[in-house]
Amino acid sequence: MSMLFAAVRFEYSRIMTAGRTVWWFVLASFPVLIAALIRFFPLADPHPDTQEFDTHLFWSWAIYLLVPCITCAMGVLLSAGPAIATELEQRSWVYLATRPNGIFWLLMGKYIVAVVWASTAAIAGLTIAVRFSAQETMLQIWQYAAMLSILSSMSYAAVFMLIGTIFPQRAMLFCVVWTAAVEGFISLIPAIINRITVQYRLRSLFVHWVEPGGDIEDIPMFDRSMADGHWMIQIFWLVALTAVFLAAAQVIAHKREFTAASESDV
Amino acid sequence: MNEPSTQPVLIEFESVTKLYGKVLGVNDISLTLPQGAWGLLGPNGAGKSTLLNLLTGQLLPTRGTVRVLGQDPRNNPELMRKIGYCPGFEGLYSSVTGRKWVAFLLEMHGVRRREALERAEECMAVVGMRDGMNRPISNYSRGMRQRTKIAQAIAHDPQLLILDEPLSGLDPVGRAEMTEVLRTRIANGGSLILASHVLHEIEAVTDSFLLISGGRLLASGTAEEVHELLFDLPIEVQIRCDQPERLSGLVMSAGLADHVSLGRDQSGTRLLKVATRQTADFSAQLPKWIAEHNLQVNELKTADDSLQTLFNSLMKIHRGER
Repeated sequence: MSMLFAAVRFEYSRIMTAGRTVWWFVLASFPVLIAALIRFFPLADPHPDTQEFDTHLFWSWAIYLLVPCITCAMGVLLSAGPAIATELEQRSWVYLATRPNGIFWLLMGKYIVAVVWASTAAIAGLTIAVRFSAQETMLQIWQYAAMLSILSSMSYAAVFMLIGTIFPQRAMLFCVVWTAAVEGFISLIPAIINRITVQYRLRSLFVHWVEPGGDIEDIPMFDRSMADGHWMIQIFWLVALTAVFLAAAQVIAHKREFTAASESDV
Repeated sequence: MNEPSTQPVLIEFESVTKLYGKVLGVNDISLTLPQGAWGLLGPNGAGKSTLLNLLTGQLLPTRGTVRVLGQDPRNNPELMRKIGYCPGFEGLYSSVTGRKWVAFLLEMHGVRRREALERAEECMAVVGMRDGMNRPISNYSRGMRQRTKIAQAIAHDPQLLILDEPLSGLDPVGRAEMTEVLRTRIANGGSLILASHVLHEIEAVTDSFLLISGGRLLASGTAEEVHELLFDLPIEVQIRCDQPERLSGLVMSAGLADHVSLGRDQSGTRLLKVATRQTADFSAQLPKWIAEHNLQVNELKTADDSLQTLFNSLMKIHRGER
């Protein structure tokens, strides 16, 4: 474990640059800015007479989409996605690869740092953004959004780490494509395939927490795009998916020949 | 080429071939080296880096097996504890100090942080980096980076050091200092594989070497052992004289030459090159020809015993020129 602590500490000290700190603040500011816009420039209710507008539900969804979905995914996209590519590009990979289990600890260290970096930015942003909701349930919204932010960062970081291991040269591009295609589109398909997406599990958790026993699940659009099991099962699946993605990333990193020597160096 | 040795085996290649797609990295190399210090000599693109990547487990052979200290180097934590590797490229983190970087790599060996920092400081001092070790690596000169790379390779006191062009970028003083560091390690029983395309860098450290070119191993052993290979090969004698045509005729008519050529050197002086296997007869006859035909010989040069000559000879054989 001392190797893991060393890898995390070193990686964290290395990324604590002015540029990365600015990005952290940009990331944290994103939900704050959007929440402020929603609060101070609200859209007119298109059907004022037909139903009562549920502001708690509206803000819950808004915060869920802004923080665990967008901010966390963006955060780990920036930190976990290019984790291997940066080591290969600056040719520092081999120094770790020639240490006992060096690749394993390097990946785990980068993963933990990516999760911490993204989730702290998300929770910092959430803490301010949630105040714009001006809801009595503000604390409740903060609690579930913070929990979902941690789970989201953990899961997406593992996914992006795996993509970065498979496609180190185009990691960011493939991560964006994967997020749009799989997490954005496939997770909404009412078929069994959506169950292997992180978004499906996060959405199910969100619904269970925000409106336990409520009527969201009765809306036809959602009946097959979220799970109806206990919330612990959703957490189990998220942890299991994370473990599988991380394990796959480790196996690929150990199997592939990530030598920094190019053909011109033979 | 090597005598059977009772020493433990350092590295063992068995019919190893490495292909990068259609590009040949190394081609059917088989060798067994006992522990000790070995120079890996070859021109750029000869396959040295590929060989070292195979040794450190970064590459898998397309065919054949590689063993280092009796073990498969691929994903082998136990072996990695015994190996120190200094690659031919830089790849250092620019934002951290040299000392912290070396300490971090030591921590990856399971060394505790405080001990790692102390050991890193010692190693940076050994490579002459005591003054600069607390500065960010981005402020280092190329020579300082090279020294830092050597420090990280030796920091965990490995049994085998694998160094790829470790002296490139160093000034003459730095080269001498680092050469001394390597000699000290060898004297203390450490094994070493030093890759370079500069002959005297290797000669300064060891007289045992591997010659590699075009992905093929040309020879291995000490200079003397490899020289024995050349015993039956013609020796080239270069003669500067006033009548090279006449002398070439005498040599040919006496049947003492395998090959004779006339040419000019870089200064335009005429030069006779004689390749002969009958060196004793040739040496006895030449003074007689000089006296009888009143030849004026200004310079007579034969192949010497330097590693460069040996290397040149092997390269010629490899290219089919002999």
